Amino acid sequence: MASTGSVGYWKPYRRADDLGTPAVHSDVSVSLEIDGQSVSVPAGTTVMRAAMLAGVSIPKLCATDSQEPFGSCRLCVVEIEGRKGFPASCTTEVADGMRVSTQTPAVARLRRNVMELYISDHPLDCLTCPTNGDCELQDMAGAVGLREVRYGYDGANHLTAEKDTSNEYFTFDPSKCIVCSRCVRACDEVQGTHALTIDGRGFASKVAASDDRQFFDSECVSCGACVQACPTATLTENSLIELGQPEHYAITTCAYCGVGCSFRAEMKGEQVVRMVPNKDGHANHGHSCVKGRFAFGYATHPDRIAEPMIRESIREPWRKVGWDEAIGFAADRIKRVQRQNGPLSVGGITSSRCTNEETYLVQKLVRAAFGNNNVDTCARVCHSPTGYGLKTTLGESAGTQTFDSVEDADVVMVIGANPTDAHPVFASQMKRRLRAGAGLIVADPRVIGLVRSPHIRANHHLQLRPGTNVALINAMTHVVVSEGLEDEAFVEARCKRESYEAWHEFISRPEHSPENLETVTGVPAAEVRAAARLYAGARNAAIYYGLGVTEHSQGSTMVMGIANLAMVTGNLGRSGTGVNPLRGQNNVQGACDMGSFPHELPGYRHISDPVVRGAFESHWGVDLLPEPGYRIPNMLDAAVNGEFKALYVQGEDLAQSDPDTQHVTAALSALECLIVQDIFLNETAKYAHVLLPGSTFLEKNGTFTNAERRISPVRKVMQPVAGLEDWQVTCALSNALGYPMHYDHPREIMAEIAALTPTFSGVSYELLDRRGSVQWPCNAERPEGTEIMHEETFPIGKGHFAPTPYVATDERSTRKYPLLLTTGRILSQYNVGAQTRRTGNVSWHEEDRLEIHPQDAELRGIVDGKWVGISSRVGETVLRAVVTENVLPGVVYTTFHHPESGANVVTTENSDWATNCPEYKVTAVQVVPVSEPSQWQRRHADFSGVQDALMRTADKDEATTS
Amino acid sequence: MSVGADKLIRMAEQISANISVDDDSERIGAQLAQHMQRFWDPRMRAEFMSHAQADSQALSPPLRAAAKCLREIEEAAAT
Repeated sequence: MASTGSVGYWKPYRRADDLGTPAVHSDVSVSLEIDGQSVSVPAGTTVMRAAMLAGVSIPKLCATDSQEPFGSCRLCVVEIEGRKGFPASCTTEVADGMRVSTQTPAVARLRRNVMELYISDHPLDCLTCPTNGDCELQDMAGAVGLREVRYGYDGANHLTAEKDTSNEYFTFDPSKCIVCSRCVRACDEVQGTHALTIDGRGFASKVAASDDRQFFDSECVSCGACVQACPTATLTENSLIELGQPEHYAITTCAYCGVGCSFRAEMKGEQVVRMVPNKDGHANHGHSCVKGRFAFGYATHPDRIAEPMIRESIREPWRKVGWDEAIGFAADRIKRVQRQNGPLSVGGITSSRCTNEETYLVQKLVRAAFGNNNVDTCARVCHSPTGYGLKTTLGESAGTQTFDSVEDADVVMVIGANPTDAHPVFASQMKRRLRAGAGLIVADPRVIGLVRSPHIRANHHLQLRPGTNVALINAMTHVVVSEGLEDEAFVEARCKRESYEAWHEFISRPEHSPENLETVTGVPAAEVRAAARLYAGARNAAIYYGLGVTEHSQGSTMVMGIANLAMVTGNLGRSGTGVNPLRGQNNVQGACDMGSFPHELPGYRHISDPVVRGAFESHWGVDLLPEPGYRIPNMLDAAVNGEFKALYVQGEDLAQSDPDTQHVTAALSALECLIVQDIFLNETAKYAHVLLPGSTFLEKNGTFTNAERRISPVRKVMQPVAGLEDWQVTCALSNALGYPMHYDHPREIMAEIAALTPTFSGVSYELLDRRGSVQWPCNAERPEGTEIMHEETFPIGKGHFAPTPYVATDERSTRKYPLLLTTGRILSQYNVGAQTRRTGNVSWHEEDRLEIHPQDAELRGIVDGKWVGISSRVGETVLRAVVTENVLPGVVYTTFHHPESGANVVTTENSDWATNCPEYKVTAVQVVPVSEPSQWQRRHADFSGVQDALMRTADKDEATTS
Repeated sequence: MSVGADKLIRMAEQISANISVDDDSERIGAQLAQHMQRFWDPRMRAEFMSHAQADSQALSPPLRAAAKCLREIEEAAAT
């Protein structure tokens, strides 16, 4: 196989450029002179930024272009003709005709004096300091020509201040602090957590975390913004302390959530020294969260599957083999199953964690090499209703905006999403807008972080009963229509009249009034009316939603309800508005775009369309079946029924993440051949016959597409542990099956995608190299991509209003199961936890717990921190309880990050009517105090013990033979 | 047996309920059939239809109408 070596994007390490103060947007240009050079900048720009833009470097310590000017260090003083004294260039705005001198004998003397004072209370251990060679204080001492410290070092000082090493990932060394406040301001302005402060006054001033606690015990969320902002070695990554300065870096894209942050992977050879958010990153603008910034150690964890393995049955030990043997074994099994059971008896599952190119190849493999359409993706269990709902109403299965659009929103409505935990970097951007005064409506059964946080209060928290989303959105929309709050001009110009009229009749019915639905949703009618008026009355109102919308029996209906509300109020097609699904995993959008669903070819085009199918048939050189194949739940049912026999799963863990675990494992156990391609022995892999080592995002080239349709490059910075990138493995399997796939680099796969998909026709690696990222549609009409969709028309011409009848879920509380369980995520862990559980992030969340309201707890004798059994009609599991008012009486909540928790042992087979997306968010349960793990947990522990042993035995075999 | 008739009937009932804005069984049935045509594997449609044929009276009117539509679509495709 040809080399896919990584060249061209490695750059020698140097600190990112910093212009001192943030960019200012203004149509007015101001001209001034700096050190004799003429400069023109937007009005409102600081003298410091203007100078830096002109290539004139002004010394600075407290200023950085990611934060508002602060003016405390006095190092950036300049002289301005006609002005008295020495103004700080970071806080002085430019003016027409201004003449600035940045280097005069007087400012030189002042700057040296300032530095002299700083250094009089700073350790002189530069040679052994972790940031030696990359320290702004050191640089400034050099820049101002500091030669002596006349005050000596014996006076009062902070040199013996103790380090705080409580955080897993960084060290706080106050002895090196110059109290510039950059860390405090990063926490306030960039992250929005406000965990840090300057404690004390004058000489006693010091940085403190939440009332002077240790960082770990404080409100700090470990986003890393303070570490990045620190100009000295006061806040430093532990990895940097251990390894020293990086020598090169590459720009790549985070593999955690759907925000898709751009990072500088800062390297020493093939070792990651640290991941630093890219200031030019279009999704994150230099910000990060605890996962992307710090939790990358899983890539080199000893649990990584490093060699292909095979076995005849899941009761046998694994046998380590070479790639050829493993691929040959897998191909033989698939061919045998197809010979014996027909071509339709096998299928494949693509992953939202893998790249676009890998996902595209897996669906191609299924359609072209397996010869059927039994391909699905894990988006089935998260955002498939988004695809259905948005396609039906707006004509395209994607979020309408760019993240930056939130900066123009006057009202933000968050429905069934928990951005501060699940999409933290976007949440920081949203919180910035909310602190600036935008209105906030939260619709969620729980009190999520956004409802009350520093300087933010939701105007309305619509704390609805789980499962009543559609009733709530209908009530809100009913208010809009009945109170004359519609944007009639938008509806007239942009929407289908006929669909509007039918829908208008439907939504106007009295049954949809908030008063009538109050008993259904549990939300007071007055609150619904007020929220509807706030949303409809805003100049720009934007809706952000998550899995709390989609993972319901009416997920698709709710998505359409949201789109209807946005259309009828004219909140589409411009910045600050829109319908914005927040995607759980890094490449949910991409996996869907790439034709992973059984009924759709890439670009959301139905398989029955002869023109579209014909294009793929002629490019791929095969005939394709014109009918949809099985979805994941169909595959599992058919496996249990003995009709479906072999499955190829890339980067997905059905046995932990899919609902009704015992049904899933029954299906997996029934398969004759299960091929799992993953980086770890995940829960699904324990049922596998072939284990193909996967590669992490650090080990391969490709692209991810985030929640705003942004395609960003993933770049290889180290060799894959087992030698092959995931797309190469799929190619090998296809070749072994007799369908040739030959690509030398993922860029060639993207070229094929672009050639076959109109919304991607302008996408290429060259474009990504030039622009950094691009948002689809990207084609001849929009060569630089599309930030905001539906500006002029919808892809279906005019918008379609779809009626949204509320149909109560079958899953209701009963005497036997009186509580409703809903599930969600936590900041420090990611999805099934396979990655984050193998990093220091476990120190924040070592186990999943069950949140229960004090009333329900007391009624049952449940005590905080003690074991409780949670049972539903399909299964039972045991967790520790957290007694909290974050949930309403009658509602309990848990996360699903740890396999032994078995949250999905309890969730049922109920699913969305249109897409079969599971109803994770509503399960009727009973909760009782218990003293031991559940039967399932004991069986799971036994089974996992056996499988781990079979894996270890594989190691032993090899050790004795080699 | 593909997915199992019970499950398919349940799925069909659920779709039917979610597309019902009135009680026009013929229209709902036609929409339901169209949905199945677009999103269901043909094996599931076949299993649904054979169940509908065997036990037609047990089905709700929209499901009966959907089964009829699906048969018509198939017959049209066969000719």
